[in-house]
Amino acid sequence: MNFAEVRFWQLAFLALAVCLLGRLCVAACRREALPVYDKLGLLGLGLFLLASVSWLTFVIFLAVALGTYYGMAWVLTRPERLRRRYLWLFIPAQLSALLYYKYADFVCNGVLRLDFASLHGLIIPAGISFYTFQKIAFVLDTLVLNQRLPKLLDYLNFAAFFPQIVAGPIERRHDLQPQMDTFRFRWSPQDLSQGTALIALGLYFKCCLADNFATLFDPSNTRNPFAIWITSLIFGLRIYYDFAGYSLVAVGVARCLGIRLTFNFNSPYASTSITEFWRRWHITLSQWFRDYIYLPLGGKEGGRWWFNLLVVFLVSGVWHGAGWNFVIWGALHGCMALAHRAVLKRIACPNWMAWGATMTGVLVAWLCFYETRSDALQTKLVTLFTPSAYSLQALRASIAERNPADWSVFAAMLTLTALTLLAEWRSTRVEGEPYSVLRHPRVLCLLVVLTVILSPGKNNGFLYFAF
Amino acid sequence: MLRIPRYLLIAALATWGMSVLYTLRWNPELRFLKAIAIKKESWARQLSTNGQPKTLIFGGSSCAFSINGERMLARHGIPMVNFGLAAGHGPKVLTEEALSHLSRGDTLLIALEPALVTETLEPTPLGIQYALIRNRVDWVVDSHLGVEGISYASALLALRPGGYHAITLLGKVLSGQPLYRYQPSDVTPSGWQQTSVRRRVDGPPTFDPHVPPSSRAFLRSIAEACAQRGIRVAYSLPWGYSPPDRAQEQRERCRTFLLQVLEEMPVLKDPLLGVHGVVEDYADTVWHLTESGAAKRTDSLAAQLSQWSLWTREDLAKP
Repeated sequence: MNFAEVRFWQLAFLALAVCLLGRLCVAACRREALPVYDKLGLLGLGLFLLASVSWLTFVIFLAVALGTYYGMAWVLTRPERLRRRYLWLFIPAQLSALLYYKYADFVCNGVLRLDFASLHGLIIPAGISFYTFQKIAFVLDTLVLNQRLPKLLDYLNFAAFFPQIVAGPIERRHDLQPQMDTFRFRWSPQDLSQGTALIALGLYFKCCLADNFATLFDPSNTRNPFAIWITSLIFGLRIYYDFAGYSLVAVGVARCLGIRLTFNFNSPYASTSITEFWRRWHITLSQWFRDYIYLPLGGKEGGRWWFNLLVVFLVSGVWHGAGWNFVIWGALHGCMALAHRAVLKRIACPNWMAWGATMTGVLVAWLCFYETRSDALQTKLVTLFTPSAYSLQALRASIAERNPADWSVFAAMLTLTALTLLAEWRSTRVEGEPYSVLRHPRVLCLLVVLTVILSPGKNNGFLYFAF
Repeated sequence: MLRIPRYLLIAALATWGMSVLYTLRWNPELRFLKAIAIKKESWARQLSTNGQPKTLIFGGSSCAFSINGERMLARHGIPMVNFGLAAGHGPKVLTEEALSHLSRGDTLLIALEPALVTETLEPTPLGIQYALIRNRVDWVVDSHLGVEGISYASALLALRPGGYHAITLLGKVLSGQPLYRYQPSDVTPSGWQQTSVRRRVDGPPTFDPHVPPSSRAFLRSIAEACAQRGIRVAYSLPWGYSPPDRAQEQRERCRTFLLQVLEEMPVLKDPLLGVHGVVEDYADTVWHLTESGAAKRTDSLAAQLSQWSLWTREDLAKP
């Protein structure tokens, strides 16, 4: 479900057209059946689009979703005092497909060095990390809040709602399920307007900003600190606009259908501390970790708060990928969050300085995220922290590394990004509504013009599909 | 209430319409590529009317800069057309263009740069735009030569300048530079291209020598298509610059690459293995030969062609 591909929109409009034609027939013959038809239609749409990604994705999704529902139904038949004990079996069972496809190769061959050839090159089914976490949250919310199991059709619509299934937002039961319980195909002009605006903004983020930064991304230089900083900057901007773009399109498509999803980003690069960064970056995942790992471990209460925090960031690193670099990335963010909470929070420093320090930390951490070769990562980290590496000669070499055309594209994209970040900052800090400045009709028209002209047209998949 | 979607749609359609007009009419790169393709086509037609089988060599710009068709005919008596265009077209469009000028008895020499062979076969925006200005949308929408076609909608949406082109063009306009660095007059009737630009070249050109299964299937499909049409085919590795201290390492990389190509089609026996280390023979990139470099490459190719000298697996595998 690649929103940047024409094929997705062709399939989605085709399936929706078929669905709405069927609705006309049902409306003419049995009007009272429309509520059920609408829910079936939405489910059909979601499953069709998921199957169009790949059959493996479709089958594994159905196994996880149905396993969760029927497993939960069985657990709810047990005496109330025993139910939580079954979680020790149930949650690992929910995680089994994710563990196998995403981590088996890394753990068996990378860590334990068992050399299982069959595990090499396993294709990770699209969205498995996202929907597995959503189903775990569903189970925990149902049990802890002692809620009733929804009807199967409503649950499947919650589980298979196509805009969010492949890369989030990881919606929670209390937000999405009630909307699915009452879902109807209603076309509110206000929802359509807001949804279209979000889709246009998301496509600008992805196709204009992220994809142009993708053409400039070259991580080959390991010895020049300036080149490494520039690469990290390019990657940091690329991954943000890539993922935020996807999330905005997802929220926009859902809004067109009358469903409200959570904003997954809120100007993270305007943050003045690492704690604030994580409140603004991949918000639904951060909330998931907070509610299902950090708080159950004890949260910030007691003397173990530092341990709880570190565990959350390590798990977050591993969630992003099976590799040591992701573990280091998570640990680095964990250490920065610890330092902020323990020391930096108490030091009064100007906002610009706090922002600079936060962004420097985030950029160093991005290096650990994109550099999957451990020897290259080590060399790059050593280079970054070697003062003598920062010479005039190195600066000249890093400039000579790219041709003038590349630099002009980089400068132009950086200018455009700076203006976009400024608008994001203003939306959040002054207007109090994420991306509100960029959603102004005149600004949106300009962004659409820029997207049509500047989108490189290369088929760059969304980075978070790999997670 | 539906004001916003309406405005956005109008903005998108109007900008796209202008982009189509720009791409098909004014894009200086495409105008250049179309002009030289017409020139090369006319040379190919001229050679065909003589009734003698011709040889067509094609690839990216490395090919355009390296083979002098006039010299090939005058000195070696080999009628040859150089259909080297630009690597940005992608391998499929370059191959389709070349195949469209061949008839039974002709020889096809594939001189695609290794990176073009090993990287993705998906049509590039420039390739799609080129196919459309040549009125051959089938080159990109039809599944052919083992490469899946794209939809008509994707082809039409590719008629836009893109960030890199738009920004660099704006830079050229602001700084008063020519809008495209080459002119049709840089290309001779046989398709050989030259430039007066000289830049420092740093080699060797990098590429992953592993040929993926999709690229192997592509090469195999070309060989099969040629066999069906009675066309003789071989791969000829282009020359690229390598400094002397890295020449051996580069040759080994080329050897690894060629051994895989050899499994799908014949490979012309170039003893240099694509590595020519005379820096003065390069103009503005590691792939663009100067006049003297092109003369050497043309003569070397003529010798291989006249004897139809091909690598055997055993010879090529020897270090």
